[in-house]
Amino acid sequence: MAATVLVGSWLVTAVHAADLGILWYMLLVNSFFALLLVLAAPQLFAHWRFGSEDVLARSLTSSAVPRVSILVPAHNEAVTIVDSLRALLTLQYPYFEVILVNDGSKDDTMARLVAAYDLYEVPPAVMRRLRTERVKAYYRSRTWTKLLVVDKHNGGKADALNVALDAARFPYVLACDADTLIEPDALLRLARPFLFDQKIAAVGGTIRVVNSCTVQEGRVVEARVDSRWLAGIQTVEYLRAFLFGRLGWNLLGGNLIVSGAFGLFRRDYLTEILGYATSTVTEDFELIVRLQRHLKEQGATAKVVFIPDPVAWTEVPTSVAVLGRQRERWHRGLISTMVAHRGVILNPSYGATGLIAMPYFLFAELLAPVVEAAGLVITVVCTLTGLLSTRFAMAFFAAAYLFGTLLSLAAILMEEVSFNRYRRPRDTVRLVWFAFIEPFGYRQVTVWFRLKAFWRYFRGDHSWGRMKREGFGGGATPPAIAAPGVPPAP
Amino acid sequence: MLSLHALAIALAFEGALIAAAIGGLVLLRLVLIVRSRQVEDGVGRLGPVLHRWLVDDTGPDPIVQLLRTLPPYVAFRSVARLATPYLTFERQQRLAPLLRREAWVQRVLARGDSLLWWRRFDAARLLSIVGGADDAPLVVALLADTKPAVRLVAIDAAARLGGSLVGVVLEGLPWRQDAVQQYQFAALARHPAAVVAALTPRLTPLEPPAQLVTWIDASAALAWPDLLWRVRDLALHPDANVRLHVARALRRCAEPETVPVLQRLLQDDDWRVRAQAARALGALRAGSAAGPLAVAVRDRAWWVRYRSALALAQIGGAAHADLLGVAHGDDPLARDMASLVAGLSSAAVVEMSEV
Repeated sequence: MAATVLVGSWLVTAVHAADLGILWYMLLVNSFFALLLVLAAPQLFAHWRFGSEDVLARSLTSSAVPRVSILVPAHNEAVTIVDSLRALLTLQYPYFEVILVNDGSKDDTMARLVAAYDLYEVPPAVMRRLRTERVKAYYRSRTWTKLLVVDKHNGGKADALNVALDAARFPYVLACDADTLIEPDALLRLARPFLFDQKIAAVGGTIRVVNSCTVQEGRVVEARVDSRWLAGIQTVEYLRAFLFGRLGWNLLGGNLIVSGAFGLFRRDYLTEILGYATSTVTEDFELIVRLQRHLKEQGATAKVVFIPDPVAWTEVPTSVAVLGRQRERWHRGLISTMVAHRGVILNPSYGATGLIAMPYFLFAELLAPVVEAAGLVITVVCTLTGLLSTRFAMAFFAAAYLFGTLLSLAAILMEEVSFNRYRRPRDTVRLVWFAFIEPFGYRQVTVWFRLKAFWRYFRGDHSWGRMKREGFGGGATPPAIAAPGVPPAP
Repeated sequence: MLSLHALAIALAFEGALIAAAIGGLVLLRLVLIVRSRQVEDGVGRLGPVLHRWLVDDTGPDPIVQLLRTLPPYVAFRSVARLATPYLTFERQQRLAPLLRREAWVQRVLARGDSLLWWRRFDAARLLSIVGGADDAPLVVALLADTKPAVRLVAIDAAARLGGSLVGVVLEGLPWRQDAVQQYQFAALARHPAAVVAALTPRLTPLEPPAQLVTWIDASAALAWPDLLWRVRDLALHPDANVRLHVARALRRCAEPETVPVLQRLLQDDDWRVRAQAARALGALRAGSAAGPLAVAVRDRAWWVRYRSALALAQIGGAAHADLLGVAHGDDPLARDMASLVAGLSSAAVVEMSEV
């Protein structure tokens, strides 16, 4: 009897301690999100204010903007490759080239490229500085002088990016995914920090969800919010992540994410750190952590910044299985990067990166699914067993739910005030609706996928998982053709 | 119980904020629709009036009168959006003194020393269209603004006013990033006489190299013959970075005397100088340099091989035959480069040579 009482008392104490811990965790993390929101708002206003001025148009015709090589890794992208590449080649920017690397695609990506862009093989006259998988051939286009296509054996996205980095001629490189549609003036907007006299190591822009948008000739002509719950919720999620998440980090000095789907880098810094790491499944995050380390170790003053108005559109998963593979991979990449760069965490020599950004990613991102799952289980079990008052549990859930919804609404509000891309009132109503339903089901599902990442990480899994694409619709993708022989150089 | 109370307070606070956010969304959408329509309407009305002035030369008075009837922020936005694409510098000079007297203009310019950066930004923007000699002190203050966006727009205002402000802008140039320098060069090009006068005494080997390269770049951007002749005289400067900028600038100096200077730079110890010299020889279509360029295609530096091969393709004729000769030669690196460039279309050669 005494033992039972003792165990019961210990259990109650443990439950209360865990509850208190989770409450404090929630308070701290949410306060940090609120801080990011407060920091982001004035910056968003500044970017919107300047971005809408005609100075931008004038810089297009001047030689002030830096020369940029656009690096596009492509693996089995036959569905979207022709449209995406056309959108890249017709960007409004005076000086750029596009280097597309076909990373051993098994579909007819290469055949479609050869047919659509009239490619011919050229000698391998490029500088090789990085070790990569073997290149099969280099191609130029008879119709698009800015285009260089590299066909290589499969080595993964990072390996393909390294090949493109080697072939790049210009001092700045823009890494983007083959399934990403970049807005015509996005590159010009991305170059704005250079006009602001800033020393830049990398600049990131906003990624938005293209599902259900009207796309013509590789351009988003009308932005819409997908009515399907999975894509719709991800639209809100992307708005939240980009409009205040990354913008807020600019002022904290430790921006650690420049999306691999759309980011501009100084080429010399990338070659100094030997390009992208091929051993990780989130090469973009790992690259920025390594770049920030390198900048601090070299005493360089160049910054990694995010600006909100350059926009690229990407397709998000519309099935739970594909979403699961994507989120599990992202989290596995986060774990491996944090482990690889654990020496930076709370290390004052790395400034804001070591003292703020890395601890944030450890506590608020990496451990979030663990804490969230633990909180959910403990609260439900304890409420059912009477260890926790039902009223408290309900209030706790409601507070967490409303705070998450509030952050999403703030992001939607910021979008409305600034760029207002979703012109139809119906889309704004949809965004608000998805902000309210996100915590029911979607969050729990993503927590589960992120928990799975721990399991697969400790098993040493390095796979990417298959992504299924729907294509952009409305585009003029030519029909698939049998692989023709590539014509020789004229 | 304390925690429950705290949660209840947090819940009430969050609920109120959510209600405010939704209310804000509705209100903002209405306000933005109204304001955007007003500005579009203003732009729509101003466009034809500006066009009439361009076609009929009826004088700028109808423009001033129309702007007076618009709400001040609509007038400002319309002018800011249309003045640059519609009006030449000379037309802006005629319109400026008339607009400068308008009440809405004075209101915007009076905020040039505001603590709010976007008001200073608006003032700088408007000064680039309507600024006069009396506004020089405000432009100088805006050129030194803490906000880069304001400084950038103030450059246009300084370029409008010209005179002593050209010197002020030039003095700050060497400490700016490349992109800002290029932007400033383009803005200053509206006042070639003032820029030439300010740059000429600076183009001397006695200037510190870090500043000299900026003056050389400015001379290249302006492409004024007197300045480029002085740049050419700096080709033997002991600093390799200066020689690099000289080689780059000389592609704008299309004179027979430039070719031997560039041929000498094609033999420079620094590969960057050699590459830029090759590029300049190609841009000048220097047929007499085909021999040295064919040799340079065998250079150990990739960029020299690349620029030399492109230069041969650009020159064409006998130089192209030299390029094909290298493409069938025994040096594998030179052969690959020559084959690559020889296979390019003429449009590709032009584009790749320019950037």
